[in-house]
Amino acid sequence: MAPWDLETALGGAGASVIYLLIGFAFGFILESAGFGDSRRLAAQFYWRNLTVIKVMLTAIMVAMILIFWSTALGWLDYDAVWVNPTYLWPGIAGGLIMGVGFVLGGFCPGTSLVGAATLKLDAIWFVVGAAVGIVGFGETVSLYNEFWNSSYLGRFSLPDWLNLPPGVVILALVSIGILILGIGEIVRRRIHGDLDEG
Amino acid sequence: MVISMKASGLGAGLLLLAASGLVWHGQPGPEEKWGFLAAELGPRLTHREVQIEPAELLSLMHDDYINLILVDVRDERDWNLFHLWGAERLKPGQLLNSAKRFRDLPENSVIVLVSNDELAATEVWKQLMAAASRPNAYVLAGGINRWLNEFTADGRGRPRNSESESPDEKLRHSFEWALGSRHPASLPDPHYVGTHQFTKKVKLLKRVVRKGGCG
Amino acid sequence: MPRRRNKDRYWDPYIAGALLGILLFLTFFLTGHGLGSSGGVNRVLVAVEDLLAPRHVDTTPYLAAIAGGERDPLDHWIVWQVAGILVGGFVSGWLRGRVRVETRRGPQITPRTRWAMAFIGGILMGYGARLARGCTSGQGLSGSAVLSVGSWAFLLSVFAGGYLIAWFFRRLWLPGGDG
Repeated sequence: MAPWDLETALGGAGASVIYLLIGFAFGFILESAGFGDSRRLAAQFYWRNLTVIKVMLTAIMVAMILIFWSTALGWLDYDAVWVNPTYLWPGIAGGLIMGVGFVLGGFCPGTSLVGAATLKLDAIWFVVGAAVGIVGFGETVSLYNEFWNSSYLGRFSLPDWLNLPPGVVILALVSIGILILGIGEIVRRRIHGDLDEG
Repeated sequence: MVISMKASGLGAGLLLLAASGLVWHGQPGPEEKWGFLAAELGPRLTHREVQIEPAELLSLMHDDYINLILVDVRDERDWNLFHLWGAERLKPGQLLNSAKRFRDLPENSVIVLVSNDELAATEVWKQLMAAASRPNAYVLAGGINRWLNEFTADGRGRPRNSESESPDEKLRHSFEWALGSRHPASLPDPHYVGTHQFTKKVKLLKRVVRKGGCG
Repeated sequence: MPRRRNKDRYWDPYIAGALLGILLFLTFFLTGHGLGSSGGVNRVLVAVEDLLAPRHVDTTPYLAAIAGGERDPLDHWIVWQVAGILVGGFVSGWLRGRVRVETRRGPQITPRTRWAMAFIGGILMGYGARLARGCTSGQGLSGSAVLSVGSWAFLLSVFAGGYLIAWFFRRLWLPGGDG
Protein backbone atom coordinates (compact mmCIF):
# COMPACT_ATOMS: atom_id res chain seq x y z
CA MET A 1 0.00 0.00 0.00
CA ALA A 2 1.45 3.32 -1.00
CA PRO A 3 3.10 5.50 0.10
CA TRP A 4 6.41 3.76 0.59
CA ASP A 5 9.69 5.35 1.52
CA LEU A 6 11.15 6.26 -1.83
CA GLU A 7 14.73 6.48 -0.60
CA THR A 8 14.61 3.00 0.84
CA ALA A 9 12.96 1.56 -2.21
CA LEU A 10 15.13 3.21 -4.85
CA GLY A 11 18.12 4.60 -3.05
CA GLY A 12 19.00 8.27 -2.78
CA ALA A 13 19.96 8.61 -6.42
CA GLY A 14 16.88 6.81 -7.65
CA ALA A 15 14.63 8.97 -5.55
CA SER A 16 16.27 12.11 -6.87
CA VAL A 17 15.62 10.95 -10.40
CA ILE A 18 11.96 10.51 -9.62
CA TYR A 19 11.78 14.02 -8.23
CA LEU A 20 13.53 15.37 -11.28
CA LEU A 21 11.02 13.64 -13.51
CA ILE A 22 8.09 14.89 -11.46
CA GLY A 23 9.46 18.42 -11.64
CA PHE A 24 10.04 18.02 -15.36
CA ALA A 25 6.46 16.99 -15.96
CA PHE A 26 5.23 19.81 -13.75
CA GLY A 27 7.25 22.44 -15.60
CA PHE A 28 6.30 20.99 -18.96
CA ILE A 29 2.60 21.04 -18.22
CA LEU A 30 2.73 24.55 -16.80
CA GLU A 31 4.53 25.92 -19.80
CA SER A 32 2.24 24.07 -22.20
CA ALA A 33 -0.72 25.70 -20.54
CA GLY A 34 0.84 29.09 -21.01
CA PHE A 35 1.86 29.76 -17.46
CA GLY A 36 5.23 31.13 -18.47
CA ASP A 37 3.47 34.22 -19.78
CA SER A 38 2.75 36.73 -17.05
CA ARG A 39 0.24 38.63 -19.10
CA ARG A 40 -1.81 35.50 -19.52
CA LEU A 41 -1.61 34.77 -15.82
CA ALA A 42 -2.57 38.25 -14.71
CA ALA A 43 -5.48 38.31 -17.13
CA GLN A 44 -7.16 35.94 -14.69
CA PHE A 45 -7.84 38.81 -12.37
CA TYR A 46 -9.53 40.85 -15.06
CA TRP A 47 -11.86 38.14 -16.26
CA ARG A 48 -10.15 38.02 -19.61
CA ASN A 49 -8.48 34.67 -19.41
CA LEU A 50 -9.44 32.13 -16.82
CA THR A 51 -6.69 29.64 -17.50
CA VAL A 52 -5.35 29.91 -13.98
CA ILE A 53 -8.49 28.97 -12.16
CA LYS A 54 -9.47 26.39 -14.75
CA VAL A 55 -6.16 24.60 -14.47
CA MET A 56 -5.98 24.81 -10.70
CA LEU A 57 -9.53 23.75 -9.94
CA THR A 58 -9.50 20.96 -12.49
CA ALA A 59 -6.17 19.71 -11.18
CA ILE A 60 -7.39 19.75 -7.60
CA MET A 61 -10.64 17.99 -8.45
CA VAL A 62 -8.97 15.29 -10.51
CA ALA A 63 -6.25 14.72 -7.93
CA MET A 64 -8.73 14.56 -5.05
CA ILE A 65 -10.82 11.97 -6.79
CA LEU A 66 -7.83 9.85 -7.73
CA ILE A 67 -6.33 10.05 -4.26
CA PHE A 68 -9.47 9.11 -2.43
CA TRP A 69 -10.54 6.42 -4.85
CA SER A 70 -7.15 4.76 -4.57
CA THR A 71 -7.48 4.91 -0.81
CA ALA A 72 -10.93 3.40 -1.06
CA LEU A 73 -9.49 0.54 -3.11
CA GLY A 74 -6.60 0.00 -0.74
CA TRP A 75 -3.82 1.14 -3.07
CA LEU A 76 -2.94 4.25 -1.11
CA ASP A 77 -3.08 5.15 2.56
CA TYR A 78 -4.50 8.64 2.91
CA ASP A 79 -3.69 8.62 6.62
CA ALA A 80 -0.01 8.31 5.81
CA VAL A 81 0.05 11.04 3.22
CA TRP A 82 1.43 14.48 3.99
CA VAL A 83 -1.37 16.88 4.68
CA ASN A 84 -0.06 20.41 5.13
CA PRO A 85 -0.43 21.34 8.77
CA THR A 86 -2.89 24.14 9.22
CA TYR A 87 -1.62 27.39 10.64
CA LEU A 88 -4.79 29.26 9.92
CA TRP A 89 -4.02 32.98 10.22
CA PRO A 90 -0.45 32.99 8.92
CA GLY A 91 -1.78 31.06 5.97
CA ILE A 92 -4.50 33.59 5.29
CA ALA A 93 -2.17 36.53 5.78
CA GLY A 94 0.43 34.99 3.51
CA GLY A 95 -2.24 34.17 0.96
CA LEU A 96 -3.52 37.72 0.80
CA ILE A 97 0.00 39.04 0.37
CA MET A 98 0.58 36.52 -2.37
CA GLY A 99 -2.61 37.58 -4.08
CA VAL A 100 -1.31 41.13 -4.25
CA GLY A 101 2.06 39.88 -5.37
CA PHE A 102 0.38 37.87 -8.09
CA VAL A 103 -1.27 40.92 -9.60
CA LEU A 104 1.82 43.09 -9.27
CA GLY A 105 4.31 40.51 -10.31
CA GLY A 106 2.27 38.50 -12.74
CA PHE A 107 3.57 35.18 -11.49
CA CYS A 108 3.50 32.78 -8.62
CA PRO A 109 6.71 31.02 -7.58
CA GLY A 110 6.20 27.87 -9.64
CA THR A 111 5.20 29.69 -12.82
CA SER A 112 8.01 32.21 -12.43
CA LEU A 113 10.45 29.34 -12.71
CA VAL A 114 8.80 28.30 -15.94
CA GLY A 115 8.87 31.85 -17.21
CA ALA A 116 12.51 32.22 -16.29
CA ALA A 117 13.30 28.96 -18.02
CA THR A 118 11.89 30.39 -21.23
CA LEU A 119 13.90 33.57 -20.81
CA LYS A 120 11.13 35.96 -19.95
CA LEU A 121 12.92 38.91 -18.42
CA ASP A 122 10.06 39.84 -16.15
CA ALA A 123 10.06 36.30 -14.81
CA ILE A 124 13.75 36.56 -14.02
CA TRP A 125 13.20 39.81 -12.17
CA PHE A 126 10.38 38.13 -10.33
CA VAL A 127 12.57 35.25 -9.23
CA VAL A 128 15.18 37.70 -7.99
CA GLY A 129 12.47 39.56 -6.10
CA ALA A 130 11.20 36.31 -4.65
CA ALA A 131 14.70 35.54 -3.45
CA VAL A 132 14.80 38.90 -1.70
CA GLY A 133 11.38 38.29 -0.21
CA ILE A 134 12.39 34.87 1.06
CA VAL A 135 15.58 36.16 2.63
CA GLY A 136 13.68 39.11 4.03
CA PHE A 137 11.26 36.75 5.66
CA GLY A 138 14.05 34.75 7.22
CA GLU A 139 15.46 37.88 8.73
CA THR A 140 12.23 39.42 9.99
CA VAL A 141 10.17 36.48 11.15
CA SER A 142 11.74 36.57 14.57
CA LEU A 143 9.94 39.86 15.12
CA TYR A 144 6.58 38.21 15.00
CA ASN A 145 7.38 34.62 15.72
CA GLU A 146 4.32 34.27 17.88
CA PHE A 147 2.01 35.10 15.06
CA TRP A 148 3.87 32.91 12.63
CA ASN A 149 3.35 29.94 14.92
CA SER A 150 -0.19 30.80 15.91
CA SER A 151 -3.51 29.14 15.12
CA TYR A 152 -1.86 25.75 14.71
CA LEU A 153 -4.44 23.07 14.11
CA GLY A 154 -2.14 20.30 12.99
CA ARG A 155 -3.12 17.82 10.35
CA PHE A 156 -6.59 19.22 9.96
CA SER A 157 -8.66 18.14 7.01
CA LEU A 158 -12.01 19.37 5.80
CA PRO A 159 -13.70 16.10 6.82
CA ASP A 160 -12.22 16.54 10.29
CA TRP A 161 -13.49 20.07 10.49
CA LEU A 162 -16.95 19.54 9.09
CA ASN A 163 -17.36 16.10 10.61
CA LEU A 164 -18.42 14.71 7.26
CA PRO A 165 -17.13 11.69 5.37
CA PRO A 166 -14.46 12.54 2.79
CA GLY A 167 -16.68 11.41 -0.07
CA VAL A 168 -19.34 13.96 0.82
CA VAL A 169 -16.79 16.74 1.13
CA ILE A 170 -15.32 15.85 -2.23
CA LEU A 171 -18.69 15.72 -3.92
CA ALA A 172 -19.48 19.15 -2.52
CA LEU A 173 -16.13 20.57 -3.63
CA VAL A 174 -16.42 19.10 -7.10
CA SER A 175 -19.93 20.46 -7.46
CA ILE A 176 -18.87 23.90 -6.30
CA GLY A 177 -15.80 23.75 -8.51
CA ILE A 178 -17.78 22.91 -11.60
CA LEU A 179 -20.25 25.61 -10.72
CA ILE A 180 -17.48 28.19 -10.39
CA LEU A 181 -15.92 27.17 -13.68
CA GLY A 182 -19.28 27.24 -15.41
CA ILE A 183 -20.15 30.67 -14.05
CA GLY A 184 -16.67 31.86 -14.94
CA GLU A 185 -17.18 30.81 -18.53
CA ILE A 186 -20.48 32.63 -18.73
CA VAL A 187 -19.16 35.81 -17.12
CA ARG A 188 -16.12 35.85 -19.34
CA ARG A 189 -18.17 35.46 -22.46
CA ARG A 190 -20.56 38.18 -21.29
CA ILE A 191 -17.76 40.65 -20.71
CA HIS A 192 -15.52 39.81 -23.62
CA GLY A 193 -17.62 38.02 -26.13
CA ASP A 194 -17.12 34.51 -27.31
CA LEU A 195 -13.34 34.62 -27.35
CA ASP A 196 -11.13 31.68 -27.88
CA GLU A 197 -8.86 31.52 -24.86
CA GLY A 198 -6.24 29.38 -26.49
CA MET B 1 -6.37 24.35 -28.72
CA VAL B 2 -9.61 24.47 -26.86
CA ILE B 3 -11.95 21.59 -26.29
CA SER B 4 -15.60 21.94 -27.07
CA MET B 5 -18.27 22.78 -24.54
CA LYS B 6 -19.62 19.30 -25.00
CA ALA B 7 -16.34 17.73 -24.08
CA SER B 8 -16.00 19.98 -21.07
CA GLY B 9 -19.49 19.05 -20.01
CA LEU B 10 -18.64 15.39 -20.38
CA GLY B 11 -15.57 15.83 -18.24
CA ALA B 12 -17.56 17.63 -15.59
CA GLY B 13 -20.11 14.86 -15.61
CA LEU B 14 -17.41 12.24 -15.17
CA LEU B 15 -15.97 14.08 -12.21
CA LEU B 16 -19.36 14.33 -10.56
CA LEU B 17 -19.96 10.66 -11.18
CA ALA B 18 -16.62 9.70 -9.70
CA ALA B 19 -17.21 11.91 -6.68
CA SER B 20 -20.67 10.46 -6.12
CA GLY B 21 -19.15 7.01 -6.35
CA LEU B 22 -16.85 7.96 -3.51
CA VAL B 23 -19.77 8.89 -1.32
CA TRP B 24 -21.36 5.56 -2.05
CA HIS B 25 -18.22 3.48 -1.58
CA GLY B 26 -16.81 5.25 1.44
CA GLN B 27 -13.34 5.09 2.82
CA PRO B 28 -11.90 1.91 4.36
CA GLY B 29 -12.23 1.33 8.10
CA PRO B 30 -9.46 -0.32 10.12
CA GLU B 31 -10.58 -3.89 9.41
CA GLU B 32 -10.83 -3.32 5.71
CA LYS B 33 -7.46 -1.61 5.80
CA TRP B 34 -5.88 -4.60 7.45
CA GLY B 35 -7.40 -6.68 4.69
CA PHE B 36 -5.44 -4.63 2.19
CA LEU B 37 -2.29 -4.77 4.26
CA ALA B 38 -2.48 -8.46 5.10
CA ALA B 39 -0.72 -9.58 1.96
CA GLU B 40 2.14 -7.19 2.59
CA LEU B 41 2.44 -7.57 6.34
CA GLY B 42 1.06 -11.03 7.05
CA PRO B 43 4.34 -12.74 6.13
CA ARG B 44 6.09 -10.63 8.72
CA LEU B 45 3.97 -12.30 11.34
CA THR B 46 4.34 -15.82 10.02
CA HIS B 47 8.09 -15.43 9.67
CA ARG B 48 8.28 -14.22 13.25
CA GLU B 49 9.90 -10.94 12.25
CA VAL B 50 8.00 -8.77 14.63
CA GLN B 51 7.88 -10.96 17.69
CA ILE B 52 10.74 -10.01 19.99
CA GLU B 53 12.12 -11.97 22.87
CA PRO B 54 12.05 -10.74 26.46
CA ALA B 55 15.80 -10.15 26.41
CA GLU B 56 15.49 -7.82 23.46
CA LEU B 57 12.67 -5.93 25.12
CA LEU B 58 14.82 -5.57 28.19
CA SER B 59 17.61 -4.12 26.11
CA LEU B 60 15.16 -1.60 24.69
CA MET B 61 13.97 -0.68 28.12
CA HIS B 62 17.51 0.20 29.11
CA ASP B 63 18.36 1.97 25.89
CA ASP B 64 18.30 5.72 26.39
CA TYR B 65 18.31 6.47 22.72
CA ILE B 66 15.15 4.61 21.87
CA ASN B 67 11.77 6.12 22.53
CA LEU B 68 10.08 2.96 23.77
CA ILE B 69 6.31 2.84 23.88
CA LEU B 70 5.21 -0.18 25.84
CA VAL B 71 1.56 -0.90 25.28
CA ASP B 72 -0.18 -3.42 27.50
CA VAL B 73 -3.48 -4.69 26.12
CA ARG B 74 -4.56 -6.92 28.98
CA ASP B 75 -7.46 -6.42 31.32
CA GLU B 76 -7.33 -4.30 34.41
CA ARG B 77 -7.01 -7.16 36.85
CA ASP B 78 -3.88 -8.56 35.30
CA TRP B 79 -2.52 -5.06 34.90
CA ASN B 80 -2.90 -4.39 38.58
CA LEU B 81 -1.24 -7.64 39.51
CA PHE B 82 1.80 -7.06 37.40
CA HIS B 83 2.85 -4.90 34.53
CA LEU B 84 6.10 -3.77 33.01
CA TRP B 85 7.74 -0.59 34.18
CA GLY B 86 6.92 2.33 31.90
CA ALA B 87 4.06 0.53 30.19
CA GLU B 88 0.78 2.16 29.36
CA ARG B 89 -2.48 0.36 29.30
CA LEU B 90 -4.58 0.35 26.17
CA LYS B 91 -8.20 -0.39 26.87
CA PRO B 92 -10.09 -2.30 24.24
CA GLY B 93 -11.70 0.06 21.76
CA GLN B 94 -9.28 2.85 22.58
CA LEU B 95 -6.97 2.09 19.73
CA LEU B 96 -8.67 4.34 17.21
CA ASN B 97 -8.47 7.30 19.57
CA SER B 98 -4.75 6.82 20.03
CA ALA B 99 -4.04 6.00 16.40
CA LYS B 100 -3.02 9.52 15.49
CA ARG B 101 -0.50 9.63 18.29
CA PHE B 102 1.03 6.34 17.26
CA ARG B 103 1.23 7.45 13.70
CA ASP B 104 3.12 10.63 14.38
CA LEU B 105 5.83 9.40 16.72
CA PRO B 106 9.43 10.57 16.30
CA GLU B 107 11.84 8.49 14.29
CA ASN B 108 13.58 6.82 17.19
CA SER B 109 10.34 5.31 18.45
CA VAL B 110 9.62 1.63 18.96
CA ILE B 111 6.21 0.35 20.01
CA VAL B 112 6.02 -3.02 21.77
CA LEU B 113 2.64 -4.63 22.35
CA VAL B 114 2.26 -6.89 25.33
CA SER B 115 -0.40 -9.38 26.41
CA ASN B 116 -0.30 -12.49 28.56
CA ASP B 117 0.58 -14.84 25.75
CA GLU B 118 1.22 -13.10 22.47
CA LEU B 119 -2.10 -13.73 20.80
CA ALA B 120 -4.05 -10.71 21.92
CA ALA B 121 -1.05 -8.48 21.30
CA THR B 122 -0.77 -9.83 17.76
CA GLU B 123 -4.37 -8.98 17.03
CA VAL B 124 -3.81 -5.47 18.30
CA TRP B 125 -0.64 -5.29 16.20
CA LYS B 126 -2.69 -5.88 13.08
CA GLN B 127 -5.17 -3.19 14.00
CA LEU B 128 -2.39 -0.81 14.89
CA MET B 129 -0.67 -1.33 11.57
CA ALA B 130 -3.87 -0.43 9.79
CA ALA B 131 -5.05 2.38 12.02
CA ALA B 132 -1.74 4.18 12.45
CA SER B 133 -0.29 3.60 8.97
CA ARG B 134 2.40 1.02 9.68
CA PRO B 135 4.22 2.37 12.73
CA ASN B 136 7.36 0.72 14.02
CA ALA B 137 5.58 -1.82 16.22
CA TYR B 138 6.50 -5.23 17.63
CA VAL B 139 4.98 -7.89 19.83
CA LEU B 140 6.50 -9.39 22.95
CA ALA B 141 6.91 -13.06 22.07
CA GLY B 142 5.32 -15.28 24.64
CA GLY B 143 3.89 -12.28 26.41
CA ILE B 144 3.95 -11.63 30.11
CA ASN B 145 3.92 -15.33 30.88
CA ARG B 146 7.25 -15.88 29.19
CA TRP B 147 8.62 -12.68 30.61
CA LEU B 148 7.89 -13.84 34.11
CA ASN B 149 9.38 -17.25 33.34
CA GLU B 150 12.64 -15.58 32.43
CA PHE B 151 12.86 -13.03 35.14
CA THR B 152 11.36 -14.71 38.18
CA ALA B 153 12.12 -17.97 39.89
CA ASP B 154 9.98 -20.23 41.99
CA GLY B 155 10.59 -20.55 45.69
CA ARG B 156 13.52 -22.91 45.13
CA GLY B 157 15.35 -20.71 42.67
CA ARG B 158 14.35 -22.71 39.65
CA PRO B 159 12.97 -20.87 36.67
CA ARG B 160 9.29 -21.33 36.29
CA ASN B 161 7.85 -22.82 33.22
CA SER B 162 4.37 -21.71 32.56
CA GLU B 163 4.30 -22.00 28.84
CA SER B 164 1.21 -23.80 27.90
CA GLU B 165 0.55 -25.97 24.89
CA SER B 166 -2.56 -23.98 24.22
CA PRO B 167 -1.97 -20.36 25.08
CA ASP B 168 -5.20 -18.91 26.28
CA GLU B 169 -4.22 -15.42 27.32
CA LYS B 170 -4.52 -16.19 31.00
CA LEU B 171 -1.90 -14.99 33.40
CA ARG B 172 -0.34 -18.22 34.60
CA HIS B 173 1.69 -16.78 37.40
CA SER B 174 0.24 -16.05 40.78
CA PHE B 175 0.94 -13.09 42.95
CA GLU B 176 0.43 -12.60 46.60
CA TRP B 177 -0.02 -8.90 46.25
CA ALA B 178 -0.97 -6.70 43.32
CA LEU B 179 2.30 -4.86 42.82
CA GLY B 180 1.66 -3.48 39.38
CA SER B 181 5.00 -2.13 38.21
CA ARG B 182 6.63 -2.23 41.63
CA HIS B 183 7.43 -5.90 41.17
CA PRO B 184 11.13 -6.57 40.69
CA ALA B 185 10.46 -8.24 37.37
CA SER B 186 8.88 -5.05 36.06
CA LEU B 187 12.33 -3.73 35.30
CA PRO B 188 14.95 -6.46 35.55
CA ASP B 189 18.62 -5.75 35.80
CA PRO B 190 20.32 -4.72 32.55
CA HIS B 191 23.16 -7.15 33.09
CA TYR B 192 20.83 -9.87 32.03
CA VAL B 193 21.00 -8.58 28.49
CA GLY B 194 24.70 -9.18 28.19
CA THR B 195 24.42 -12.78 29.24
CA HIS B 196 21.56 -13.89 27.09
CA GLN B 197 21.54 -14.30 23.38
CA PHE B 198 18.65 -13.16 21.34
CA THR B 199 17.94 -12.56 17.69
CA LYS B 200 17.79 -8.83 17.27
CA LYS B 201 14.70 -7.92 15.36
CA VAL B 202 13.97 -4.32 16.16
CA LYS B 203 14.99 -1.80 13.56
CA LEU B 204 14.49 1.92 13.57
CA LEU B 205 12.29 2.94 10.71
CA LYS B 206 12.77 6.04 8.69
CA ARG B 207 9.50 7.85 8.70
CA VAL B 208 7.83 7.18 5.41
CA VAL B 209 6.90 10.74 4.65
CA ARG B 210 9.48 13.08 6.03
CA LYS B 211 8.19 16.39 5.01
CA GLY B 212 6.10 17.69 2.21
CA GLY B 213 4.84 21.14 1.51
CA CYS B 214 7.21 23.67 0.08
CA GLY B 215 10.29 22.52 1.93
CA MET C 1 -7.16 41.52 -24.80
CA PRO C 2 -3.86 39.65 -24.69
CA ARG C 3 -2.96 39.45 -28.30
CA ARG C 4 -2.45 35.87 -29.14
CA ARG C 5 0.53 35.38 -31.34
CA ASN C 6 0.01 32.85 -34.07
CA LYS C 7 2.78 30.72 -32.74
CA ASP C 8 1.44 30.38 -29.21
CA ARG C 9 -0.86 27.44 -29.22
CA TYR C 10 -1.39 26.50 -25.66
CA TRP C 11 -3.13 23.44 -24.34
CA ASP C 12 -6.73 23.69 -23.36
CA PRO C 13 -6.82 24.67 -19.67
CA TYR C 14 -9.09 21.80 -18.74
CA ILE C 15 -6.80 19.28 -20.37
CA ALA C 16 -3.77 20.82 -18.75
CA GLY C 17 -5.61 20.80 -15.45
CA ALA C 18 -6.56 17.16 -15.80
CA LEU C 19 -2.98 16.20 -16.64
CA LEU C 20 -1.72 18.24 -13.73
CA GLY C 21 -4.21 16.52 -11.48
CA ILE C 22 -2.96 13.13 -12.61
CA LEU C 23 0.63 14.22 -12.00
CA LEU C 24 -0.32 15.47 -8.57
CA PHE C 25 -1.94 12.14 -7.75
CA LEU C 26 1.10 10.21 -8.98
CA THR C 27 3.33 12.42 -6.88
CA PHE C 28 1.33 11.67 -3.76
CA PHE C 29 1.29 8.01 -4.62
CA LEU C 30 5.01 7.71 -5.21
CA THR C 31 6.31 10.10 -2.60
CA GLY C 32 3.58 10.51 -0.04
CA HIS C 33 3.55 14.25 -0.44
CA GLY C 34 2.67 16.80 -3.09
CA LEU C 35 4.41 19.27 -5.33
CA GLY C 36 6.28 22.39 -4.34
CA SER C 37 8.49 25.10 -5.70
CA SER C 38 9.20 28.03 -3.45
CA GLY C 39 10.96 25.80 -0.95
CA GLY C 40 13.53 24.89 -3.56
CA VAL C 41 14.40 28.51 -4.25
CA ASN C 42 14.47 29.03 -0.51
CA ARG C 43 16.96 26.25 0.02
CA VAL C 44 19.30 27.31 -2.73
CA LEU C 45 19.36 30.77 -1.19
CA VAL C 46 20.00 29.43 2.27
CA ALA C 47 22.79 27.30 0.87
CA VAL C 48 24.44 30.41 -0.55
CA GLU C 49 23.86 32.24 2.69
CA ASP C 50 25.45 29.34 4.53
CA LEU C 51 28.56 29.74 2.43
CA LEU C 52 28.80 33.46 2.98
CA ALA C 53 27.61 33.83 6.56
CA PRO C 54 27.56 30.46 8.32
CA ARG C 55 27.49 31.89 11.84
CA HIS C 56 24.41 33.87 10.99
CA VAL C 57 22.70 30.83 9.60
CA ASP C 58 23.55 28.80 12.65
CA THR C 59 22.16 31.37 15.03
CA THR C 60 18.94 32.29 13.31
CA PRO C 61 16.40 29.63 14.28
CA TYR C 62 14.46 29.77 11.06
CA LEU C 63 17.59 29.31 8.97
CA ALA C 64 19.28 26.88 11.30
CA ALA C 65 16.40 24.49 10.89
CA ILE C 66 17.31 24.22 7.23
CA ALA C 67 21.06 24.61 7.17
CA GLY C 68 22.41 24.91 10.68
CA GLY C 69 25.55 23.03 11.61
CA GLU C 70 26.09 20.01 9.43
CA ARG C 71 22.78 20.11 7.66
CA ASP C 72 22.89 20.35 3.91
CA PRO C 73 20.02 22.51 2.69
CA LEU C 74 20.30 21.06 -0.79
CA ASP C 75 19.73 17.53 0.43
CA HIS C 76 15.99 17.71 0.04
CA TRP C 77 13.61 16.47 -2.60
CA ILE C 78 12.31 19.90 -3.49
CA VAL C 79 15.67 21.02 -4.83
CA TRP C 80 15.55 18.22 -7.37
CA GLN C 81 11.99 19.02 -8.21
CA VAL C 82 12.75 22.69 -8.86
CA ALA C 83 15.61 21.66 -11.11
CA GLY C 84 13.12 19.50 -12.98
CA ILE C 85 10.65 22.35 -13.29
CA LEU C 86 13.27 24.55 -14.90
CA VAL C 87 14.26 21.87 -17.38
CA GLY C 88 10.68 20.87 -18.13
CA GLY C 89 9.57 24.43 -18.62
CA PHE C 90 12.49 25.08 -20.92
CA VAL C 91 11.98 21.97 -23.01
CA SER C 92 8.29 22.66 -23.44
CA GLY C 93 8.98 26.23 -24.47
CA TRP C 94 11.82 25.24 -26.74
CA LEU C 95 9.79 22.60 -28.54
CA ARG C 96 7.12 25.15 -29.33
CA GLY C 97 9.41 28.03 -30.14
CA ARG C 98 8.44 30.00 -27.09
CA VAL C 99 11.91 30.49 -25.70
CA ARG C 100 12.42 34.15 -26.40
CA VAL C 101 14.11 36.90 -24.51
CA GLU C 102 11.19 39.23 -23.97
CA THR C 103 9.13 41.01 -21.40
CA ARG C 104 5.48 40.22 -21.17
CA ARG C 105 3.54 43.26 -20.04
CA GLY C 106 0.40 45.28 -20.49
CA PRO C 107 0.55 47.73 -23.41
CA GLN C 108 0.34 50.81 -21.24
CA ILE C 109 3.62 50.37 -19.41
CA THR C 110 7.24 50.12 -20.37
CA PRO C 111 9.42 47.05 -19.91
CA ARG C 112 11.29 48.85 -17.21
CA THR C 113 8.14 49.46 -15.23
CA ARG C 114 7.25 45.85 -15.70
CA TRP C 115 10.60 44.72 -14.36
CA ALA C 116 10.22 46.90 -11.30
CA MET C 117 6.72 45.56 -10.70
CA ALA C 118 7.85 41.99 -11.24
CA PHE C 119 10.60 42.53 -8.72
CA ILE C 120 8.25 44.01 -6.14
CA GLY C 121 5.62 41.38 -6.83
CA GLY C 122 8.33 38.78 -6.41
CA ILE C 123 9.29 40.16 -3.03
CA LEU C 124 5.69 39.98 -1.88
CA MET C 125 5.32 36.50 -3.27
CA GLY C 126 8.50 35.24 -1.69
CA TYR C 127 7.64 36.76 1.63
CA GLY C 128 4.03 35.61 1.56
CA ALA C 129 5.00 32.10 0.55
CA ARG C 130 7.21 31.67 3.58
CA LEU C 131 4.64 33.27 5.82
CA ALA C 132 1.99 30.86 4.58
CA ARG C 133 4.43 27.96 4.67
CA GLY C 134 3.93 27.13 1.05
CA CYS C 135 3.14 28.58 -2.32
CA THR C 136 0.36 28.06 -4.77
CA SER C 137 1.79 24.78 -5.94
CA GLY C 138 2.70 23.41 -2.54
CA GLN C 139 -0.09 24.65 -0.34
CA GLY C 140 -2.61 25.74 -2.89
CA LEU C 141 -2.60 22.80 -5.22
CA SER C 142 -1.26 19.92 -3.19
CA GLY C 143 -2.68 20.80 0.19
CA SER C 144 -6.11 21.37 -1.29
CA ALA C 145 -6.04 18.03 -3.07
CA VAL C 146 -5.68 16.31 0.28
CA LEU C 147 -8.34 18.50 1.85
CA SER C 148 -6.17 20.46 4.25
CA VAL C 149 -8.22 23.22 5.83
CA GLY C 150 -5.26 25.58 5.97
CA SER C 151 -4.56 25.04 2.30
CA TRP C 152 -8.08 25.82 1.24
CA ALA C 153 -8.08 28.94 3.40
CA PHE C 154 -4.79 29.90 1.80
CA LEU C 155 -6.03 29.32 -1.73
CA LEU C 156 -9.13 31.40 -1.17
CA SER C 157 -7.02 34.17 0.35
CA VAL C 158 -4.74 34.27 -2.68
CA PHE C 159 -7.63 34.72 -5.06
CA ALA C 160 -9.34 37.16 -2.73
CA GLY C 161 -6.18 39.24 -2.42
CA GLY C 162 -5.66 39.23 -6.15
CA TYR C 163 -9.18 40.14 -7.14
CA LEU C 164 -9.46 42.86 -4.50
CA ILE C 165 -6.27 44.58 -5.58
CA ALA C 166 -6.56 44.02 -9.33
CA TRP C 167 -8.62 47.08 -10.18
CA PHE C 168 -6.06 49.39 -8.58
CA PHE C 169 -3.27 48.10 -10.75
CA ARG C 170 -5.15 47.62 -13.97
CA ARG C 171 -2.78 49.93 -15.79
CA LEU C 172 -0.12 47.29 -15.51
CA TRP C 173 -2.00 44.85 -17.64
CA LEU C 174 -4.92 46.30 -19.51
CA PRO C 175 -4.94 48.27 -22.73
CA GLY C 176 -5.79 51.95 -22.50
CA GLY C 177 -9.32 53.24 -22.46
CA ASP C 178 -10.40 50.42 -20.24
CA GLY C 179 -12.34 51.28 -17.07
